[in-house]
Amino acid sequence: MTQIVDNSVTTLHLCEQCAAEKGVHTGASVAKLPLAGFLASVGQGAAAALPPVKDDQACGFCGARLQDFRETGRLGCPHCYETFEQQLRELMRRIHGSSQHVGEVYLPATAAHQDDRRLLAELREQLRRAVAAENFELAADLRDRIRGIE
Amino acid sequence: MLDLDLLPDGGMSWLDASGPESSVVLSSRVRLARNLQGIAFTTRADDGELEATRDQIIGAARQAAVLEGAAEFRLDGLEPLERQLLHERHMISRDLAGLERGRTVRRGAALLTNGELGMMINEEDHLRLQSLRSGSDLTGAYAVLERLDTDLGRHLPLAFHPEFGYLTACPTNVGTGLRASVLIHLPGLVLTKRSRGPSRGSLRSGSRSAGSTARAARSSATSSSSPTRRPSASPRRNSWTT
Repeated sequence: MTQIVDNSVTTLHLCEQCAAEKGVHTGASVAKLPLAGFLASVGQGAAAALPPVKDDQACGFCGARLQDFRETGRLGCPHCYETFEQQLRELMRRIHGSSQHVGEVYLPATAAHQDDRRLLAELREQLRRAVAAENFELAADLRDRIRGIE
Repeated sequence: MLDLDLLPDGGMSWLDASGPESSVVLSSRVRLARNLQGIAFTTRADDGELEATRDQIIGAARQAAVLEGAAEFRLDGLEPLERQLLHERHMISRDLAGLERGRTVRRGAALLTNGELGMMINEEDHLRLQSLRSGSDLTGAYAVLERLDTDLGRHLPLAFHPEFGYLTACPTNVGTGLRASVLIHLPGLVLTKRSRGPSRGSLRSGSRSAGSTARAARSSATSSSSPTRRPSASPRRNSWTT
């Protein structure tokens, strides 16, 4: 720890206990935080947190395999999220605390204008997921949208 | 050839100290990551797909009112020094500039910007919308970004999953695709070598710091966030439930 008091620089080398007494948080205490541990694992690549699975399954759209994701930490295309949905769901829970997205929902303009029934089905499915996740704020928002369209 | 005269203040208005709390907070940035449906992410797409993606996005962006008159820079046609200059002005990432070790600029990489508001095309994700403002103004930065996001959503088929949210190449960005950051000037802490303390403390508040300039970042959909916290930028904009 380096302190400057009255233009005098003092450098102290403290153990964890002495540092804590002086109100300095050391790396050791921070490492005990669950979030810090989590961030450390993310820093090593989110793919490392994937549960062990068979790697022979490939995305039907881009051909990417889970092994590719383990090596690069990047998925190949949006369809990969459907192909590896089960494995990614667990990863999402570890990264974000939940796999259920809440808040703003993207609704394609074409669907809104051309096919209200399809849009309603999509919104109802999202409402069901929101209720299952006990995200009642999002559920209320979706309910209002459904009523508006109906 | 790079012509920065196309931009107000050469793209440096975020550094003019005109924003709130600018004696401490140099700038505020909010970005949203988006991808198009039916196209491989940029790291897996071929050159033809990357160029088609760029053209499709620019075509849609030209219809967005908030980007009216924006300048277009095709990075795959610029010299390394010119790309470096755009990166140093915080307008593009190192990845988009092709400055990462062993990498070169990606085909179809482009920047569309009016200075404070812009989009990186064919970065890690097809689209990285970003708003950069002077001082501490995350709310203002997000507000204009949300308008751009809404406008683009009307013209582009965005990749969205009902459970996961907006889909991105890296799962740490999935969900909102939002990251908010502020560039803070903390010379006293650096001189006394105590900058690591607040950096670590920020972990507990759902933030993280990065770089010697102590840029503290907050995000609703990445590792740096507290899952139950909502970003203050907007009550509508999300987070993840626990």
